[in-house]
Amino acid sequence: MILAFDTELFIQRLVDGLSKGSIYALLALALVVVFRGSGQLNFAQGEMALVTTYIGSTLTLAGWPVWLTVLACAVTGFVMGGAVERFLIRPMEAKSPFAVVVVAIGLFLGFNSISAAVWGVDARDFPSLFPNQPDDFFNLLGANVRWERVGIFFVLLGIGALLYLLFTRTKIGLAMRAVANTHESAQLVGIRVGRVLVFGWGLAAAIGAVAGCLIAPSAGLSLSMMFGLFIYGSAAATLGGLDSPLGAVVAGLALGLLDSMIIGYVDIIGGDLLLTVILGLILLVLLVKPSGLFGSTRVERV
Amino acid sequence: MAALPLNLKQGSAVHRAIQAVVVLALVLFALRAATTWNRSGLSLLTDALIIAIAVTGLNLLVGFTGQISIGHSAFFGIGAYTTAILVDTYGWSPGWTFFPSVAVCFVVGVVVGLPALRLKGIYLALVTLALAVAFPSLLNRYESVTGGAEGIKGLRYLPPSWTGLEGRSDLAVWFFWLALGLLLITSLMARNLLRSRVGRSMIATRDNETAAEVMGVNIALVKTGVFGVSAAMAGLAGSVFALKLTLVDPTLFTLILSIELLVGMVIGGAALLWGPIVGSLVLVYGRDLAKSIGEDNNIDGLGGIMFGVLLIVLMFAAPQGLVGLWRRLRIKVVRILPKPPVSAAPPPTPSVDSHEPALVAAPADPDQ
Amino acid sequence: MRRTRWMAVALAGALVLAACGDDDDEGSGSDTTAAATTAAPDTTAGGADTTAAPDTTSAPDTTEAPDTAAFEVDTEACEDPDAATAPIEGDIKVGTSLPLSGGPAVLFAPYADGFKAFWEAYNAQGGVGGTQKVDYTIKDDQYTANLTKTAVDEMIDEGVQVFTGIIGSPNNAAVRDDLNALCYPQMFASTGANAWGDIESYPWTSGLLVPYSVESAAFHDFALTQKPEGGTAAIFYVNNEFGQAYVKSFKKVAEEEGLIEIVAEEKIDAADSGAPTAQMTNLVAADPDFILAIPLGAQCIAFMKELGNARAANAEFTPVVYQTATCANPIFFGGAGAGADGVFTSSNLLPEVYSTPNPASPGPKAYADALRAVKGDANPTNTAAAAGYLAAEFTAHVLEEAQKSDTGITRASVINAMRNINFQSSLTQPGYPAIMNAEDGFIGEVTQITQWSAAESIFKPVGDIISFEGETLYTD
Repeated sequence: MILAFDTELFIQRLVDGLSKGSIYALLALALVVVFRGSGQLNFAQGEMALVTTYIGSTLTLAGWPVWLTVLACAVTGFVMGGAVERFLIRPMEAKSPFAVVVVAIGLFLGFNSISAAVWGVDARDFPSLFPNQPDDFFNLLGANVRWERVGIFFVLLGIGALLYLLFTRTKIGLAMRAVANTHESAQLVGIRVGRVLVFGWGLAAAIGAVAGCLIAPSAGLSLSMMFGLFIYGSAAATLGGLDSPLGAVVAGLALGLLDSMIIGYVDIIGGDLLLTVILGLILLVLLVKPSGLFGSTRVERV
Repeated sequence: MAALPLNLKQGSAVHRAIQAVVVLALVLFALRAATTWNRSGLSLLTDALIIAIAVTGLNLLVGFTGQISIGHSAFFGIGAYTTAILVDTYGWSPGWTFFPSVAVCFVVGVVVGLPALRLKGIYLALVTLALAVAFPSLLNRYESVTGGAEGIKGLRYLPPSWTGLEGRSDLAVWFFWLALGLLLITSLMARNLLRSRVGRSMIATRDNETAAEVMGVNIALVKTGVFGVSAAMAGLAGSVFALKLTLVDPTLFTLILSIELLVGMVIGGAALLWGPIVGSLVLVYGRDLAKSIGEDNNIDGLGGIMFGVLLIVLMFAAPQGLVGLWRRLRIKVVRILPKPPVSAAPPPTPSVDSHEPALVAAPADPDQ
Repeated sequence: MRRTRWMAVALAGALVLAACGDDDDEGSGSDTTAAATTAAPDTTAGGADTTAAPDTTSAPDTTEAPDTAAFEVDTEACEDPDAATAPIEGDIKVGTSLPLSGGPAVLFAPYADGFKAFWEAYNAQGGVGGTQKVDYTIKDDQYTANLTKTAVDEMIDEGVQVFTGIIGSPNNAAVRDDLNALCYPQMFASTGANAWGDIESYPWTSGLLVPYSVESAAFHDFALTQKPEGGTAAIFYVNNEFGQAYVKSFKKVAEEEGLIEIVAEEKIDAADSGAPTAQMTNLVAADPDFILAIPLGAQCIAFMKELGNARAANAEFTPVVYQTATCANPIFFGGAGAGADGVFTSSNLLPEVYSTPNPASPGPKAYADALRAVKGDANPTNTAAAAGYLAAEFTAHVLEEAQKSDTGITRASVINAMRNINFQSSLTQPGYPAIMNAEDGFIGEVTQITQWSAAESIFKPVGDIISFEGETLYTD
């Protein structure tokens, strides 16, 4: 227990929380894009990002600069996401929502195992897009803020803003919303449903790929890198409202802050009970607001 | 000979004869397995049967009532730990622990079902996710009760003397019959539940909740009640699991298990009565096969790739599950016409044999 | 509804039947061994006992045939005493169950490679006594106890006669009862738990690695050499069986000696793959003299990177940091960059094994060659591979001793030979043979503190070898 309130420590924890939250928010954004664009959840999102990050690792080992690698990963992710939607998810969707879930689970397992088969089960290093040496930080009101974390935060804001513009200002964004609602109505209005779906999944996978490249430098690239984070991302997406990019960002950052504050100030809840407590809090919020903080409530027509 | 499909009246002599043959075949198979199979083969089959008990419960909740749960690993684990704690700390005789296990899980299930009254879809999934994640973490924490991360070891459940089985060497056989028996009873209970008014309420809730409510279904009771029953079944399975393995520890009851149960349900066929059994068999044997493939060669992860591919292929081949596929093929050959209802309603038309699960918008008939 | 009621009654009746007539009087099976510090996968470095033994060339061992007076297993208690004493001729079937896939595989897949490597080379040289080869089976249990049971059951049905090197505490526990009742040797359980020393209740089971209690005690003693007056310590650990076992042992030793005070405990969930920034902030705030870190797998890298960040940002934060031996792996330490520099860990292997991929001395060289023969791109400095090799090497020695006994190789003679072992492995520090006898059920009580040098990318031994031989540090 802290007797005197240590402001510096508090700010440090704030900074820690925002940096953790940025990652959660990025993953949440990817899930929101998929949901908003197709009404589905991509359960294999984390593992797809894992594969693209491993591909990135190979590229960087071959000498590619990091920024180019991240770009390449994003493109690869886009193609993968689109292909998965077109060839594996869409045929199933018409037949049974359960089948979609199992296909996603199969993909989850498959992608993780492919990573094991091609790159082995070891953990490895991954270079960072931003300066990443131990002394690459600056001081802010007594807290030490790492450039890498700041970079990730701004990437998050950038992607969040772009998505917001996409959804509200562009035709394709509107089309995505229509498609997510009902395919038939969208088709009637002349929307090429197939293209929109592919785009949605591809975009989400691209975001996931970028997230993977940002996570790997500090977490270490290994087969288990994405699973826990994916759960956090899902929790954040749900808390924020599954169809709201703003919600994803806010919720993701909030979860990161909660993490940091709980570990810092609530001794009884250790790092191991963190997810439990967080999910419990989210549950309470949902009971009050069943579609999440910023989600749109669906009106049920009788 | 009449042209295909052959129409049989439900309850007719021919129908009963076919059913009797099927039952006889299954009984003979079970006897053969119990007497001639080796330990590991029988043990693997028993594992599948245990999982099937849990999946039966899950199926009632997800398949027939339209709720979501990725938290059944916790119910499974609560059952397992209830048994373990009673046997280890309080010296209970293992067989008696099934009762409290089922009761505890029922209560917890009902409590977990309460948020379901307010949340739907992914949001409900999150609640159950929380349960699945919390359970192992809490087990790790509360060591004095649960043995913490080490778990509880040394649970022994020797066959009772009336079975005529001898102690340790017949353990595999004992657990086989135990699991089989409990599975049969659980499945029959599920079937009867579905045929009853409660069952129809469940299906109505799944198909159109608002309409069901308008028609007088007590949604709250149905949802929480089915959550409870579903959890109780998973708990029963967990108890048997714990006794068969002789130990429990937190790593056995994680989110992964919940996902496996869901996969088992879908592979077999959600909302189909015998789906859980078929699905569990495929799950357990598929996983075993994938592991063997992985063991036999140098490529890491090959087993996982095969199993992932298997799941995807299965879904493409049988999106309604294997039992659903079987049904669709069988209907082309033999159709069972249900008896007309006792009330004064007009007799149904012959094309009433609609066994598709509700996802295709026809009411599911739990009859097979 | 009536039918449902009948069904419920039937179910209740069935359950009652199942409950009645239970003739299990053995006190509902509470675990008879002191399982206090059973731990998770400690399979790699820091583990095995380090007796210097001749390597894979089947040079005759210098010890004589086992002294059967020292320990002899009671085969009358077996379900099938004849099977336990039947001679094993021809190829000896040895089996193990390891996590080849699934989460923990990242740590243990190399163990399987090392295990395989030894047997391949050993068989190429003729096998046991030059006359009997070893037919080894490796099955995958994904570190899940019920799959271990399945694997062992299958292997029993496939005719495996000797089990060795199974990884994981719950995994070994799941099969221990059966194997002891059926009288199959369950040798060299690869986990650092203390529970494997219970000779009385489980005569057919033994451990291999340095128990976690030894590692904790070793670090404690080492810490006192750095600061004889004692100081404050913080612990960062993964909250599962593995982490908890270390923590318990360390706390016990610290309490007994009274010189080191634990001021902070930070936990991390096993599935948490993110950087432990928040925990590190807490550790910095606590400003301890020593940090004991017990992360799992890739968390080792993340932790050390955070450590590096914290040290760079806080000039006064200069703790002595110790990482669990399961992380002691150049891939993890190298991957962590500057953060890993100066971090301590331990190992009981010869320095050459963990410091260079191309060792020169005969034992390590034979190991490196054998490993590359089964997997070309394998890294011999990965101590998990060495642990697997070690488990196999020990097993081979035991088989050789059993072969020399009056009865030749039988399941019973194998266990007798194991219990009377006195063996110096080719990969461990000379002068500290692995010894067990009728009283001492522990095989690995020796270790060496090492320190990572980021500049040179190797572990360097520090100080003297620490030995707790004979002092069974049974924490309960």
